Amino acid sequence: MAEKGLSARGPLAGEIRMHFVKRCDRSIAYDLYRHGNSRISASQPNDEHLPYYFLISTGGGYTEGEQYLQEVTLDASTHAILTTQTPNYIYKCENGKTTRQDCIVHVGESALCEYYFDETIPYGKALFNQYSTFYLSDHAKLILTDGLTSGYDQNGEDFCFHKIGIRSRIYRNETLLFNDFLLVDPRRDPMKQLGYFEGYSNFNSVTIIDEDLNDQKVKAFREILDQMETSSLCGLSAIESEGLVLRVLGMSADENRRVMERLIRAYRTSIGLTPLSLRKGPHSMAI
Amino acid sequence: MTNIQTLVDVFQVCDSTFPIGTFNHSFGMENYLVRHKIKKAPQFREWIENYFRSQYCYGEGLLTILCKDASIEEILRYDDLITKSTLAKETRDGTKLIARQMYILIQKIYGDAIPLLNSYASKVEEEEAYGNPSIVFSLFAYFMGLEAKDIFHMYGYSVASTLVQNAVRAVPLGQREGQVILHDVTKLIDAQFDEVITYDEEMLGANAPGLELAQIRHESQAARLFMS
Repeated sequence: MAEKGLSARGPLAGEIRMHFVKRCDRSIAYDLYRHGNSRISASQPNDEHLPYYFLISTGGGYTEGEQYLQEVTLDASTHAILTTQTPNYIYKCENGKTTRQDCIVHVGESALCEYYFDETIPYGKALFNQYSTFYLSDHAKLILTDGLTSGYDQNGEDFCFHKIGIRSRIYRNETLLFNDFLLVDPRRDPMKQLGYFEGYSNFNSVTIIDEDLNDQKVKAFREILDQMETSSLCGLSAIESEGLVLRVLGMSADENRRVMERLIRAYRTSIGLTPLSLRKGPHSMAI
Repeated sequence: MTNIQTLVDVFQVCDSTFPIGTFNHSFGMENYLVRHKIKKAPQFREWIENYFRSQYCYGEGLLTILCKDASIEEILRYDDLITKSTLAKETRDGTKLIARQMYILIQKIYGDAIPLLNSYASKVEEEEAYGNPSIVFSLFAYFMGLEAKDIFHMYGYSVASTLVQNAVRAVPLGQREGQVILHDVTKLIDAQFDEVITYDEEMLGANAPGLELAQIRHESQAARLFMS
């Protein structure tokens, strides 16, 4: 199904395009392009010599009505790690214009894409849509994180933003695997009540797509999480096919990250990857 | 105005006593009971109202509207999208079971008189569709001549009355208190229609974090009265 709205996209405030290819048994960044307020870090050193990049917003956040685009392609059998350098701040939208980020990722046959979005932190009156679409070829794998906090307000009030939609659609070839759509509007939704944030301030999510995942493996990962002592509330479930999702509600981003990194580390180990510190300062994860 | 016999025919399918297995499902509510977040009527009211503010409006409620004049190809796309948007395995599986029981019983009463419902049921039986009770009900109700607003409201009533009945069994919630809450939820459903009618397929499957998390956590909770 065509992605409604993309054709109506206005001028971009920031754009990133990345293309990873296989050369002599190693994954390398063949083409990196940036424009406007979006930047790409130098490749971050790691023991596996994988292409690992921070995606950077030079403005520190997105301002009202701005539109951003990230297009990433991983060729067959490549492996790349991408992460936002910091949480994504969405500044106030006092004129009612929605800020938007589109992310389109193609993951080639037997490739692995690790895409760690930090949480979104909306300011008061922020309006924001983040639409990510992942197209996976046969045997491709994906690890994806994102999240939303109660936001920032100069008076210290929670949930002063207006409307946030964070949607990830994941396809294997032409088949939809998962439509993940968090949509909240504190102007009408009682955010602190049961069903919404329930008194917590931080929501995070991990999605793993791997055709080898099954109920037994999901159960094993759940047992690993059950052994953790954490103040965050978390739950793990298998999606309709080929994947699992972890949801976490907690009082701090750090505590939620601890839960997320436990699952990610267990999964990465199970597919033969060595542990890796993302080395992002206070927002880092040891995966 | 739809005649009374037609309304009664549709209401029969809406009734919480229609034997399609809905009494087996709490759609996450039971996890709040185990966590002591729902203790009495006020917390149950909070949960069910928020269920209708989010999951119903972006899910089954929106489906009732999308199904109006929809082709079988569109129906199958909605079926796929809502199933792939439902994160918790138990909720997905429960939904499929209820849908199947619903179309089997409607077909037992009405035979093969409803072509689009027959097509959809065949696709589910052939495993080319998953099955969703809101789609089944909507195809039936549109065939009977009801309008979108009526179907949105009646299906919402059906879900709400079942959840209230289930809560009466599980929560310290009296029958009378339950009926007061049900009445108030029907007002909420009615008030939401004008907004939901403006939504399109792109909104289908949106959800709120707490509702989803409770549905997921129900999967691994030890003590349970309900299947979801």
